[in-house]
Amino acid sequence: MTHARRLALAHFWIGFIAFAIALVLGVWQMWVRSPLPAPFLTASTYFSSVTAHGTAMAYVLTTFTVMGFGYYVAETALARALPAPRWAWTGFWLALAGTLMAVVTIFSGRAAVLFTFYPPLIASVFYYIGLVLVVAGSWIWCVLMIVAMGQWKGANPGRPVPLAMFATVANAVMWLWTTVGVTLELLFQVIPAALGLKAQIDVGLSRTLFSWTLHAVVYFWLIPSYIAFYTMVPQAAGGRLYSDTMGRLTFVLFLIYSLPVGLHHLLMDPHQSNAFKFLQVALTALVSVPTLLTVFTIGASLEIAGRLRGGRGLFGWIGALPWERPLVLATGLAFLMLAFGGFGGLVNMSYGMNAMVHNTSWVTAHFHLIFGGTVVIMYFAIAYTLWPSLTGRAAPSLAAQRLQLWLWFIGMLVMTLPWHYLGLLGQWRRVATFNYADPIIAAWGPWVIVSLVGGLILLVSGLLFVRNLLQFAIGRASHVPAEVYATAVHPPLRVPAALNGFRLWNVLVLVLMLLAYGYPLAQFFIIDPPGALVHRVDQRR
Amino acid sequence: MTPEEELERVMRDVPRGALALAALSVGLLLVGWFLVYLLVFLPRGMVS
Amino acid sequence: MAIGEEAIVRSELRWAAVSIGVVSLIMLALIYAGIVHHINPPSNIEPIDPKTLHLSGEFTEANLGTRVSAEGQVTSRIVATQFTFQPRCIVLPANQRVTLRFATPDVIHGILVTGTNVNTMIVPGYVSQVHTVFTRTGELLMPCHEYCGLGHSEMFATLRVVPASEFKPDAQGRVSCDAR
Ligand SMILES: [Cu+2]
Ligand SMILES: [Cu+2]
Repeated sequence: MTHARRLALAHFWIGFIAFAIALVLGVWQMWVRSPLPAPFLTASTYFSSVTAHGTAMAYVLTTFTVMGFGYYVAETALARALPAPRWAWTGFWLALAGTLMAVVTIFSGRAAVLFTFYPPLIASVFYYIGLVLVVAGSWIWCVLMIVAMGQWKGANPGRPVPLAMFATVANAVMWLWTTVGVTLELLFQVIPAALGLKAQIDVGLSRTLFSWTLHAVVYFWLIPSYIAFYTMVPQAAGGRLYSDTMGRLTFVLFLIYSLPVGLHHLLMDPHQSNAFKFLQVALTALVSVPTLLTVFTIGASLEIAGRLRGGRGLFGWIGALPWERPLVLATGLAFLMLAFGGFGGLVNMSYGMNAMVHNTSWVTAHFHLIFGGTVVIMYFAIAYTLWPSLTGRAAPSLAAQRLQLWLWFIGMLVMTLPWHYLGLLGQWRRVATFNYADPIIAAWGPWVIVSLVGGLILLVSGLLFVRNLLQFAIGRASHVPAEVYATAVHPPLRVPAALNGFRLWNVLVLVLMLLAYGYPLAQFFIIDPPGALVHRVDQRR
Repeated sequence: MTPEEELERVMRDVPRGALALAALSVGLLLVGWFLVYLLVFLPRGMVS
Repeated sequence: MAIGEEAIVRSELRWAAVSIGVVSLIMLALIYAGIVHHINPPSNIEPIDPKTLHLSGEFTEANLGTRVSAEGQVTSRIVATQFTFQPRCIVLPANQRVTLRFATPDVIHGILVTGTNVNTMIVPGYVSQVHTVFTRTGELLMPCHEYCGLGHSEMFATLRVVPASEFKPDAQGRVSCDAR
């Protein structure tokens, strides 16, 4: 590795620092919402904290980790130097400057709009510009990934792009499509309002544009985990990838079906019709296909490993797997949490059934399970897997890594299982405090405290993660890093052009987006609804 | 046995276990969803 | 290798077909709930100007709260505003179809009614509307469930669901919490 080592380390560390800070804030927020008396509580500190937590977790940790991991994959999977490393560093500094700008604005109390914005509430313009810079940095990454794959294909005509890189570029292409929605919202609606150039906002339009981004952004965070599942986990378990072809198809399906489904976040909104809501719910149902394919393919890959290690019978191979290896353990725990989170998500997306849970703690539980449970636990495992080759040192203790992963799993379940229950009881979202004198709410109190205990376990786990990475400094030097990429049962010799690039799929995305979002967006220009007056949150009274 | 022969041997059983595991999980998921649908959602009544 | 790539891909595609079957069952159940039980999302593309809704029309102050029309239709009109509902207490009859209509003069809000399927966003620029039947009597919480500013945590209303025998409109067809 020539350039990727330092790039990857720099990106990962920025992400993990943001993560650690966000974790502390998250626990404090749960404490505030519980019946226990909490310090520092004002409405402004609480909602600034929620904004910082969401921004750091959803935009900073994820974007930097995706970028850092992508640079690593581009150099190692393609076995050639990164094109234009200068540009990669430009992207890094741009995103870092944006992060700092957004964070300073939040902590000065001028951006309490939460990371999902909610115009016509309008924060200080520096918050939005900071986020645009983060996205701009990630766009540079997207272009570099696409160029890296193109150069490799030029040098290796007819050969299949390694799956890890194919998936990374799928994510880059998807991210370019994904960010169009939120970018249009910020550049044409929110930022002009924040600058005082516009006094009114078409809120239906802004919500619809944001929904364009809101589902696919989750797959942007998730794809590094899936890359680890397909290209690293079979190797770590001592097996083979069951099918390279289906891996490619899965990532293509994610690219296609992550985008035209965002209206499932607006099922309870008045300004979209049931026809388009139902259409996008049906498309959302199809997103479960690549996920279930992954469960099967990775299950089969692990089954190969388990049987090679002597496991027999229908389920005996599970016990025979090398669970002492952190990447294998993380995968098992991630799939368990994906099952719970997927169940919650299935209920959320269920058209009329969404009314039962919309904006309750059920939803919070769902996305913490998907995000913390499937995305972040695999970020931990990826870091543990790459750190030896990034630092040139072996891990001093695998036991500490396993303990950290188990604590994360236990904490996540202790926190989110009560949230599901509270959500069904009607506990609503995004409030700093509950009136525990009300008899309905008083009954929730004990469960809120249980979930706070889960949050504390998560905090311990997160800090242990940072410590485990720092501990590599005392590990013994190891100059021959183990092979991380898995081989398929049938390593691909040739693949159809459609599964070796994205031209065809981009056309399909365009068609589906026109179908699913064309009228839902165009209707605002046809009915021309009255605008809402801008409400600034950054002016001190 | 060479590694290739080993792989050959296990591939006679794969993916029966994975299929069973995946089917079991998806079956549980489906049962869970219908329990919520029948026991919580429908009893809460009509809205439109 | 005795097991060819085609056999592997075939097993995957068979599993994909099972997956599609599973989600199709769910979609069928949702269509059934929509058509037979009338549980659908509260879509209602009905524009209203947030800047003037308090000046004239159905959301003027005198017109808010529960009202029974000459035909016996029960409708409650509620304004959601930073950081309260007008009115903060609403009376509705049990076991009868009622209509809730919401509008906001300022920012995004949203409501749910605990223990029911009543749930809608309230978006400036549109009237939100939910038809429902409350089956249990008693006081239900109706909080604002969408972040609307620093006072969001304090924003909630009460729904008082009463038996039909206790639901007594006055001469103008109004029913309010204070009148009892
Ligand atoms: Cu979504
Ligand atoms: Cu609110």
